[in-house]
Amino acid sequence: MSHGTNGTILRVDLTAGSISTDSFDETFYRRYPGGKALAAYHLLRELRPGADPLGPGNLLVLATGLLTGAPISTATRFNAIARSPLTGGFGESEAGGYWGPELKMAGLDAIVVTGRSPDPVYLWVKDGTAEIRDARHLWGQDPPAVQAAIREELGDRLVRVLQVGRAGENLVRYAMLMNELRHYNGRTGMGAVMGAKNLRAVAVRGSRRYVDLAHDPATLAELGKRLAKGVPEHPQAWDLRTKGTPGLTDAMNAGGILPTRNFRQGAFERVDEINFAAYIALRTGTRSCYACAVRCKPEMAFSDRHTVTDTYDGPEYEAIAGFGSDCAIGDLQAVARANELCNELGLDVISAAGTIAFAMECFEHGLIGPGDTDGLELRFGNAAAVLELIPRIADRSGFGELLAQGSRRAAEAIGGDAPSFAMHVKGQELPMHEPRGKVGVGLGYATNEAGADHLVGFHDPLFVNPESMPFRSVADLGITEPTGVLDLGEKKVRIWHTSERWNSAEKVLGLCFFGPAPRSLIQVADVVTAVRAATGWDVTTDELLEVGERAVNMARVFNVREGFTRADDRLPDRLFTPLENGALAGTAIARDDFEGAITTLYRLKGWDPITGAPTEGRLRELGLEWTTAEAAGG
Amino acid sequence: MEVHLGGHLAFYDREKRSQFEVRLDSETALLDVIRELGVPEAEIALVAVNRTVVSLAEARVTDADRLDLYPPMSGGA
Repeated sequence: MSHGTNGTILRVDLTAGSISTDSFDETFYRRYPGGKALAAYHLLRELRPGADPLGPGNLLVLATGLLTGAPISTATRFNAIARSPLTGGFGESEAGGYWGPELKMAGLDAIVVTGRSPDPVYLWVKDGTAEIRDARHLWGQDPPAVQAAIREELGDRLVRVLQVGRAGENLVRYAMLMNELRHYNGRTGMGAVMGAKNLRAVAVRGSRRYVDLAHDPATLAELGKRLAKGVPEHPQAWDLRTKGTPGLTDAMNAGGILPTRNFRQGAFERVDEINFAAYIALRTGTRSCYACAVRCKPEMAFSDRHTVTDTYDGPEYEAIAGFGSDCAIGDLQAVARANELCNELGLDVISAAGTIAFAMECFEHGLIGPGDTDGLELRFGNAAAVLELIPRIADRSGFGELLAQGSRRAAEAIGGDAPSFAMHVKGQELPMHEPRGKVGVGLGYATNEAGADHLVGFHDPLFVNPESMPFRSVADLGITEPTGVLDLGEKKVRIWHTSERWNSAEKVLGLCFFGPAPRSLIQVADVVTAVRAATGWDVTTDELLEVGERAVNMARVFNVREGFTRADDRLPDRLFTPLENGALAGTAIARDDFEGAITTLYRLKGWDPITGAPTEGRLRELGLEWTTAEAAGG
Repeated sequence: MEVHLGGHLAFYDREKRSQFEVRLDSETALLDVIRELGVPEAEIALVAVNRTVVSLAEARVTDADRLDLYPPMSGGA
């Protein structure tokens, strides 16, 4: 192989205890090059419809992108894909770090895990060979101890370890995976799927180099050097390196789109206690993913009112807004500790914070009381209660058992007005981006197959000013006309459609969203150059967009098969009511306009406007004729 | 006047500062202040004076004000 892949996929059946490999040719890879596309292919082909997400019948696919491990900044990502225990639909989550590149260097493009081991195990993968090993002694241990024990057993301190935490062992529906303790596949409960298989960890070591897989290593290396050198000179890349995502907090608040008190408000009166200045006072450094010059990962350690160590990733914007403004906690130390607890226990920080904010609103409205919450006064702003509650969620003990199911299921159990307080799409809690000020992001939340996700497409503010750097950077994608942040007309929907295909292509290629345009320094033409150099294929921007669209369509077919319809592509009702405060006070999404935008989006995608299912014609155009029966519900 | 440069706007300050003070002798058009700061207008998506969102084209500021400038806001991690 010399087109950026190994051509080999590892298959592990934990019920049978068997290991094998599959090989695929270049034609296959050009259609399903990696990441989301490669994983969705296996999920659709092999998973029985209706399979219990937490049963042995579910598949867990861990797939590297086409460029994962290439010597290019941000080419570090891999996907974890399965049927989600949180949504019941297509589950997916990406992470950077070191594990994905290491898998590529171990001679594998993906691992497909099926079945369930009778006892806890971990998988040891080295240079194309694999072994299932006893992990009974690791079960229940904290992540650093598990990582250290595995490295000790294998006699290699450079083994890269992907693992679940206690939340994954306990099947919390929004449990995450972590690699190297600092990088997280947070969303859609992939940690619960892995925990349900009694698979505590996947340890990987490889000795290959990506350049040995590449068609034109020299061009790839030259591009990588140019991009790395360009980071300090590019304003957006410089911003990510210097400030990281917590640099967003002040701007969101000023713009009235900082989710506050469970999305009731758009500005937080105590923002100065969680903002960038508060954050930078506690930050101790930054870290990187594999071969990435952007180096945006925050490191934080302090011992004061709370104690936080630098064992895990420090709080990103999502944690700061999630546990800060959305739970009304004006104390960055407490927020950082809540973030650390989620990481230590293996919980998705976005869903954990969103579910707790939901419970706080239920408490404030008297739908639940101290008798339900193990005595916790779960009011907005009560940081001590949040810090006590997080471990109970991970252990599913007391009130934590209810919240471990996620806000949708908890709301159904509580009843009354509770469902109107659950800020989710398809069961997955909203990230910390307010659709009443970024309505295209809302379109993404509503229509994404995996539920609410802020990384599905570009955010609306990037497309207001045609002279701005982000706008100019995506002209090569055909985006040339500006639109307003609240516009829901065809121009906006077209931009959204293009951006969704581009971001999906990044998930196939293994690129982090903080690399390519419009978010940072890697231009559209650079991505095309990288793929050409890796593969030798004469790819174009249009082909990459089609690759992304194909992956989205496979996810959509998966959901159709599981009974999802247009009715599931909906936002929480709250977003159609006015924001209570801030610069956008009184602003709401117009429901008719939003429904019209969904219809337009379906039309652009070639999907049925009534059912939301891909049409047979579009699937055939995308080379997905083998899915047409399933898209029709067959 | 207290100046806060959000996101990548701090890149355009000679010392790459996110927060600093400038001296204004009299009430000044905001556009003139921004040109003096060297921040490209095209990169400014949101302007707040004393934490209230204002129009870049119309606002005037004094030495006693706090000025926040922000670029287009995208996603976090």
